[in-house]
Amino acid sequence: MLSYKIVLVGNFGAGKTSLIRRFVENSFSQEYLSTIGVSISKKTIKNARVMIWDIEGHTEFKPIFKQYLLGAKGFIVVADLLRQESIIDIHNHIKLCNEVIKGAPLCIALNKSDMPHTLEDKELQIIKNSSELIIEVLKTSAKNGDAVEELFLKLDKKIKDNMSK
Amino acid sequence: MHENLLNLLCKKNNTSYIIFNQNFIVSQVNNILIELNTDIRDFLWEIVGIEENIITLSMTQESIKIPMIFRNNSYYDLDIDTFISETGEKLYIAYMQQKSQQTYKYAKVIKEINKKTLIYETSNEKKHTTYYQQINKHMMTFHVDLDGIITTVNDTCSHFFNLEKNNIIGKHFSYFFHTQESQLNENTHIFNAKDFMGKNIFFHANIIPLTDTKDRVIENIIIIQDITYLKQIQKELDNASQYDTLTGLPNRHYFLKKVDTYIAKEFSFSLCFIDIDNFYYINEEHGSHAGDMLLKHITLLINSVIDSDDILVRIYGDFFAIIFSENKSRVYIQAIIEKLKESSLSHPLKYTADDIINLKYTSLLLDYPNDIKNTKELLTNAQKSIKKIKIDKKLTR
Ligand SMILES: Nc1nc2c(ncn2[C@@H]2O[C@H](COP(=O)(O)OP(=O)(O)OP(=O)(O)O)[C@@H](O)[C@H]2O)c(=O)[nH]1
Ligand SMILES: [Mg+2]
Repeated sequence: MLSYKIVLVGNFGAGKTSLIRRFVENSFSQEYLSTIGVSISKKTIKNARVMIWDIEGHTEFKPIFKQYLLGAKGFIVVADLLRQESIIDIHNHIKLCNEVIKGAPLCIALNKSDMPHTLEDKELQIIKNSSELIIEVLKTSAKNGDAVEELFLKLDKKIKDNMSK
Repeated sequence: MHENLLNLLCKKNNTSYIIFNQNFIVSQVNNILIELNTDIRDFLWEIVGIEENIITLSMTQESIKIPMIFRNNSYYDLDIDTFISETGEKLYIAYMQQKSQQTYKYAKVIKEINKKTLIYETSNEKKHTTYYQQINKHMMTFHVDLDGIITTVNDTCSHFFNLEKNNIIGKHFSYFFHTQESQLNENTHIFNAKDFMGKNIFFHANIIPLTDTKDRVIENIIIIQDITYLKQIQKELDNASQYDTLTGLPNRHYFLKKVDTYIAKEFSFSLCFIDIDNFYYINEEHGSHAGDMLLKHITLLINSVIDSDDILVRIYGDFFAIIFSENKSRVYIQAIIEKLKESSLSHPLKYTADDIINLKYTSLLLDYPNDIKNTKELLTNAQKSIKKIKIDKKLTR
């Protein structure tokens, strides 16, 4: 069976772990247990075995580890709709991903859409236009499941297209 | 016999291993539940995607390292190496080393900090003071004045060194912390220090300048976090930055890159290497803080005589280089070197009122393409030549 690796990157507390948990186990927890290091989940998406890397988020005190990104076929950059800084940091994360895996496709998840937030929909397009690598920008909610499936499936499709080229 | 030895060593180090071939088929394991002759990737998911990197590993190359993997409620570091078997086959070994109890404590603290910071960042009363107070409880924090003298420390700091606060305050921070060459960004640094048990610990440090009303820096707050485990990826950290923390000058990485590009573009340029005389003794006699100050002092002196398009680099220790931009004449460069000599003679370092350190150095001027062919042996050769000049001057180091 085809196997590939994707990595979720983003600032701490943005919801990487929660998005994966929603996608893989269809569950959610309100409690925040920050990821230290990395944990890897496995999920079959349409005949492909996908290794989903949940890595430690970027904090003011710690950069993201490039080593963890090695060998990825695509990335999901996660930001927190409630924290402007995490949205501003998106472009740094994109830069890092592209440094390690040149040209790898990425999806952007603006997470916690179930909460009141100020980001308008027209800004999604602005974010999308900021890099050619971005295949989709979605407002997601790991809590109620909005757009989570779509997020992973869009990336899966792009990766499979790339691999069959 | 070998297998027994390997098993014994691994057991002692809390390590499991899997040996596999280039088709990723498992041929030998210790205490792991994985069947022989199956694909290792069915068990060791972390290597999906990096197959290329593994296959192209060679014995002289550094192993592939993936630190801090969390699985089944425990942390381990993964290391992949290659070797040639008795039958001449190229094989691979993946070791998984369990992390120590210390790591779990560390993880717990970071989780707490992140939790609090997230609550704080999402709340409306985002005030810096409370923020730092929260961090303060968990991390070593100290203030240093512009000369690097520690002025305040928190409890965590005095626990770490097992010293009373007033035994730390008043000392130069380099007495406790050693700066690593790398600097991740302007405000982030890597330090290391020995704790009171003598164990070498690496830290990630954030330096926050405190400014007065006129935006002048009056003091720095340094907040540090244990990253010993991250140090395994030393190489990445080393390359992460091209600037030296002490002097703020570009470092060796920058130097080699720059010289490489000049050579590639076939510019004609000159390099002047500068090595402080008796630096070792200055450190011994006046202390390492004085040594640091001397390095800063020479940085200022050199920068005041060279043009803005010439670049001063700190290669390592007391070894500096000036990259003269292309097409500067020999006469001009000689004049600059002469000026530097005069300036250093007339400006010794006044370390304290009665501790005056004379600044003497040995220099070496090299031209491209006459004396320099490539960057490969450039630094070693330059050091050798300087050493020879010093021996001739009857200066030994
Ligand atoms: N309301 C809401 N809360 C969410 C959502 N996603 C995550 N959270 C909460 O946000 C906090 C952080 O979520 P995590 O998934 O642990 O964040 P992370 O990006 O993995 O964080 P690190 O591992 O520290 O990098 C937790 O308390 C989650 O319950 C969401 O879609 N809506
Ligand atoms: Mg997480």
